[in-house]
Amino acid sequence: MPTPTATATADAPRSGVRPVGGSWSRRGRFRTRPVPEGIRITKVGLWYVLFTVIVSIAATNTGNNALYMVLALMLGVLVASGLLSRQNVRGLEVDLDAPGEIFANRPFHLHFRLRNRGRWSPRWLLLFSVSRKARPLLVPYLPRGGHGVGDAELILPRRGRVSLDAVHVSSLFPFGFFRKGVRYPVELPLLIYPEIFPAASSRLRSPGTVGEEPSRRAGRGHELYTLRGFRHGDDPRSIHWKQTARTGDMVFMEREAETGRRLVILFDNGVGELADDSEEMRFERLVSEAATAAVDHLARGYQVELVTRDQVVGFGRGRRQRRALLEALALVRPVARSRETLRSTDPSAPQLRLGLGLAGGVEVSRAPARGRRRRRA
Amino acid sequence: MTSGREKRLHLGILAFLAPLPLPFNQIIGWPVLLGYLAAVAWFLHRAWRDRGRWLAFWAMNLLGLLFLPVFLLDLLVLSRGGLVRPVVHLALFTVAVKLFSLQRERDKWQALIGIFFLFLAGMATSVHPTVVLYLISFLGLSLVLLARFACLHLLTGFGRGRTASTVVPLRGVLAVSVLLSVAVAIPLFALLPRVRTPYLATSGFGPGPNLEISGLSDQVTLDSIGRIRTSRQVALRIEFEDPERYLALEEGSMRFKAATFDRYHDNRWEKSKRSETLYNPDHQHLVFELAGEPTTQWARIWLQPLDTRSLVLPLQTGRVEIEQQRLYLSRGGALSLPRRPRGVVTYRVGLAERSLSLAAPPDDNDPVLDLGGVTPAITDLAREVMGDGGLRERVERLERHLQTDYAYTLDFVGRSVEDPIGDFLFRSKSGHCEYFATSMVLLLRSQGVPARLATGFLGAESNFLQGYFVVRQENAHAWVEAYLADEGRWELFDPTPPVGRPTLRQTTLWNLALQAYDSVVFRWDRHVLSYDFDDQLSVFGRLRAAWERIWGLFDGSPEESPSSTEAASEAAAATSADGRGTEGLPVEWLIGLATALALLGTAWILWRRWSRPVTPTGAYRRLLWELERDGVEVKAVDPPLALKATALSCWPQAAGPAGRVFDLYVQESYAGRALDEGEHEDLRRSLGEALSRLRKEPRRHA
Repeated sequence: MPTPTATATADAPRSGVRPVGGSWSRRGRFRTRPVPEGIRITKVGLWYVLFTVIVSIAATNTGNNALYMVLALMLGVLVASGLLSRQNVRGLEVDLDAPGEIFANRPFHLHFRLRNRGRWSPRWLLLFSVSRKARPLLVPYLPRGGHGVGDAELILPRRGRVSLDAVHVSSLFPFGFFRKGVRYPVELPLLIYPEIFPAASSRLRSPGTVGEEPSRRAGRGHELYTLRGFRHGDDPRSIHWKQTARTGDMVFMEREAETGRRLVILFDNGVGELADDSEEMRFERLVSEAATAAVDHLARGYQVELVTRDQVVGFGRGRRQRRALLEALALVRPVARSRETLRSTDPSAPQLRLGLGLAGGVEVSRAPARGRRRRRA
Repeated sequence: MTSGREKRLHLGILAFLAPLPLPFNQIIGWPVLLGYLAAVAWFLHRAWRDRGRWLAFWAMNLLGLLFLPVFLLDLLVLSRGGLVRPVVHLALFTVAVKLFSLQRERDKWQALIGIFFLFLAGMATSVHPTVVLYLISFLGLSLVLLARFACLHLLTGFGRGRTASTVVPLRGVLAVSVLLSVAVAIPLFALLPRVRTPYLATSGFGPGPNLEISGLSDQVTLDSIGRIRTSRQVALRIEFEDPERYLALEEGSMRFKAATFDRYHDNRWEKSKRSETLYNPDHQHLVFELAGEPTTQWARIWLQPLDTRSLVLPLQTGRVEIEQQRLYLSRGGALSLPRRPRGVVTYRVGLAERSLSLAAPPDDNDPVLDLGGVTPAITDLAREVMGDGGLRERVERLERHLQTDYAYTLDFVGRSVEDPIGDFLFRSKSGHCEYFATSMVLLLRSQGVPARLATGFLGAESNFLQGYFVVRQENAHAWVEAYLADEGRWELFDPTPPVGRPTLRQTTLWNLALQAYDSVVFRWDRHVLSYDFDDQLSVFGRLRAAWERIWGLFDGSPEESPSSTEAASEAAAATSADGRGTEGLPVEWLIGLATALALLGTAWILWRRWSRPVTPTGAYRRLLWELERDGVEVKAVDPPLALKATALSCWPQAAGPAGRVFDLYVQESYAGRALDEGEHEDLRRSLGEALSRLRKEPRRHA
């Protein structure tokens, strides 16, 4: 885990989009008033207070003004500690930068930038955390106007919209007697994608090569399209060495594009109100399996379509389609029951049906065979 | 520097400092301290070299067992049952051994507890003002230690190495911490509740050490005063209501009577056993009337512990106000306390216009005619010098003879110890005040004139810082009181030549330095060491009176406000009860101070407001606020360029500068480039110009 570093870059250029008001974004700069979170006494602080009490008893009992001086100074140190630690955790500005894709139950790094807005004093020994339960990150020193950056590792258990409402800054500064904490309200909205299963643990079976449509044009597929002479600019990895050796000329293997591979994910969310937690868990698992299948097939070059009861994400491939599918699955919710069959825009494409009513929740149907592809010599 | 090494060095330095006051306070001997310091210095050397091998726990425990018999010997034999010294020795040993066996984190905290105990012992037994320096030094080093420990603890806990530990500069904040702690501690010291009389554990290296040799004890030798004449220690301080009047009365000198001595034998003087007990049953008004003379002014005296019960009084004293119910008045007219005081005695004296003699007329059994020490040679000399005539004339003749024919000296090398007065009168013809006064007493007694030796102090020096007079031990003096039968009263005669008499000191640079030091010591003793519940009442009373006076000023009738008068009288009563203050806080000064603070605060707020750099975001929000004032609904999702268009349409009069503000904001926030200095200035100017035009010219409301 990268650790925060403190740098004095008050004049460093700032990049990125700054959200104005409540529009949700994965990046934000927050200059809000901190909310105190209380003080927790440390072991050292406990001993210090104990000794202060002992000295107070000795001073009161003896009337020795030298002991009263010590007592007054010990109390003075306590007050100074409180004031300095209060000052230390205030006057900060928080920049948060979340990654583009966040999946449930998968750790991700929230990049933060902690800036000292104080004009008079630096900040020392700041402990930054996004959640009170999470292990904080240490920012040892922030000069006046300087900032420290770091990555906080987070795991969010559930998909859907999550608003990161606060970050927590605490400090043992100056003397380690107390841990004083404040909360900086941030309101950083995040969209958590469904959990993606590792391939081995997924119950889905790939439709395989069923439904592949030869495009009859050269491209970046697996099947051989033609053999031809090597031209300048061709990928040397595709040189057919045997033919080259046989003919004495450089022979290049040209492959056929696989644009015709399609998959339809029919996710039946018309299940009505979920009865209990176990049903909800099953529903969530099906969402995750749909997301896993979508991500997996998109990675393999498929065009994927998602059909649910309340929305359809048409065929597409690439990053944009991946984001559209994941956002749709991140927000999919159970809707009223319906007996209508979910239908794809391309009935000939292989289909992956997911629904609580199905046996095992998943059903794979292969597209009808369209004959052997012809190989061009 | 590794964290372990740094922690050891911090602990070592603190351990070095902690016991330093102890030998000054006579709690431990210098050899013990030097041994301890040598051990700590060795530890610091090893820590600096970062030697890896330290004392094992079993060895530490073994050393502890070996020290046990030493501790018992110290407790039962060497200290004769006293507990403080053996315990401090034990603490020194424990800290020294513990330093060498710092291995776990908690060992370091245990060593710190031991060091803190030594610090407490040093503080609790200290009475000298320099203990403040020690306190501040220890505070500073302790805060350094605590801050570095906290820092290292966190850095180590988060896996930050030795390089990271050096990037946390703490010097400035520690200086602020020390100042802040002291600033908070001063009022706290005044406010913390006092339920017992201040207790001083030791006279030690303080402002008022006891005098082992004094001319005021029950028995004095002829060398008593001569020896203390070399001391610059303060004997008493006196503050007059009207010092000029008193000095005019005393013709430039001050004489304080402390004791009188009637019997002389074996070359030493003894106080008379006969005395009158003065008892004052009034608990509230503890004033002893000594003479019927009217009091013209009061003087306050702070008498240092002088190893005597004698109460030192100016010769004009007619009344004494002191927190005692019983005093003793000797036949020689000297007052004494029931018991020897351990600390400073504070009392007030009412002074008459002339010197008063409180001595009783001699009777038949009075030792003032005792002929002890009178030899035929003395009788012959007295007869020859005094001659014939009136009694006063004869006595003054003798006084003049001694003043003119004898020399003052403090050099007594080769003098006879069997017959010092004979040696002084007939051979060496030089001596100090006790020789002159003793000789005159014996000469007068040989002629049947009742006489006694009186001791006290002559002369003082004015402290220009405090307005009081300081009487030092070098002002100790002896003179003669002779009873003039024809006049029916005791008269003072001083046969010591003027050159040998202590006088009012001239102000020299050295004296000024001494007075400044004495002022510090006096304030320390008065306001810190002996600060008690009465002082707290006095402070509260004065604060309340000041508040009432301030309130009265705003109320318009300060004189007529009964509460203010009452408060003022209470404050005055509080101050007079303890006798440590005569007037309230100057109200005009308080008002002036408050006004100055208010002005400074306003100036600071204005300065902060105007000097605060304008940020693009701040300027942008300011313009959005202006837009909302004009009725434009600004949504959070509105892009800045759309808002700019709206603003320009609303504010044609400020289109130029407002547009520039929007442009700079967009540049800073979206173009990924921070504004440079010139652009910041441009932003500030544009915002100011836009707001100015919006204020001056009518707006087009949406």
